[in-house]
Amino acid sequence: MKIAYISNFDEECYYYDRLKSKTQLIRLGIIWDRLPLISNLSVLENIMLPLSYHERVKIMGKSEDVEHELKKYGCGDIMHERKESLSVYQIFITKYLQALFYKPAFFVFIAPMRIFAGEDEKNYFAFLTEHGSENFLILDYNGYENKYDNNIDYQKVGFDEWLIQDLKV
Amino acid sequence: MREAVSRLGAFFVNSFITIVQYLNFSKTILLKIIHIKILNPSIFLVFLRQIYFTGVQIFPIFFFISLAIGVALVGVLTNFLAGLGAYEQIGQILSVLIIRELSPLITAVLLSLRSATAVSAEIAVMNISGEMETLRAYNIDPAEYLFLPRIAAGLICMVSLSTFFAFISIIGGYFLLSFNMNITFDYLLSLIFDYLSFNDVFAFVYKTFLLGFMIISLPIFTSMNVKNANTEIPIALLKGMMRLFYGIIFVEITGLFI
Repeated sequence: MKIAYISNFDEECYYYDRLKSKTQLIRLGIIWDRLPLISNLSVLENIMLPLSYHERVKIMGKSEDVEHELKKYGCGDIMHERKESLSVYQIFITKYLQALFYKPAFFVFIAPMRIFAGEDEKNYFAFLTEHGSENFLILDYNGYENKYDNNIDYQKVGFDEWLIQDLKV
Repeated sequence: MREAVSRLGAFFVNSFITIVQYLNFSKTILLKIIHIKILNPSIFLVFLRQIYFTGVQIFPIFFFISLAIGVALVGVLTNFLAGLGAYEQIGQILSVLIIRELSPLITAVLLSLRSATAVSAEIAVMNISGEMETLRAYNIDPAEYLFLPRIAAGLICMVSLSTFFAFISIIGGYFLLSFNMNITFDYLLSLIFDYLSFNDVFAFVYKTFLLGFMIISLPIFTSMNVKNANTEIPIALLKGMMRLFYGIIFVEITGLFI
């Protein structure tokens, strides 16, 4: 798991734009609070949307897989809910699973700490500890560096360096 | 004077640019319809939902309106024609009025009031909330995923509801005629079909298809311009509905030449 620290919102948007320009070449799962879930779709439909669109997979055919994954993250009962009734952490997990089912080469989390507080923050670090992998890149504000240092093992990188070394596009 | 002329010029130039942009937008959607993108499972799901929202939910009130108009129209017409001693012309008048003029127009008005406004607001809100950007981040084309199924559903519902309107109005009219003049349903149908020309059928098809396409595509096209502020939503709704109104007038006027 790698973290590149950012210092302001312009940087956040600039990095997103650069990542978006690469999505034509490589599948990226971008998890960012500026990319909300589709409000007229259920959690199941949101999770399956990119896969269903690109690989013509029927949503109901994968509902058991989605339920299994949701249960793994303690969210087994939200499959048919819409985003209005979800907690911040449940929305985060739904977005992560949306990216996971899309089978991206890399997961990029942009400014995730901004949305978490209290129990959700603990859940977030537990999620990273348990499921974090080499293809995770977190772009977060340098104000949170201490929290990351105290909670998880990671490699600090620069965004451009990551683009060249990992993304290779 | 000079200012007035320059304003008029700007109005025409802007209108021309908007029409060209809308035609390009329509071309994009029509190409996607031709390439049968709608069979993609994710798009087909949206399409089915839109059929339900646009065509099924409206059905009870639509049935009542069709019946009421049929009864009222035939009631007025039979009194009028009986007064003139020309009630045998009722077939011709019913076929022209109901099939050619009223069924596309009233269906278009009802769908505009109910579905076009909802779709317009939905697309505008999706633009502002960033949901459109979510789709783009996953390389999902909004024109394919959002616009195509809504426009296709609007088109199908417009054609089928207009046909249904014509049917129910004629049946409603028949009930009144059967009481007033002891006319059988077969006789009424033969009166209508004797006078129903190819041009009438073609005008019906032309109007329903063109209106069906415009009813959803024009509000969507207008709502696509909403970018940042919530205050843009009512402006887009208003503009979209006015453009739709002009679209209906355009179709009605061009329909006169068929």
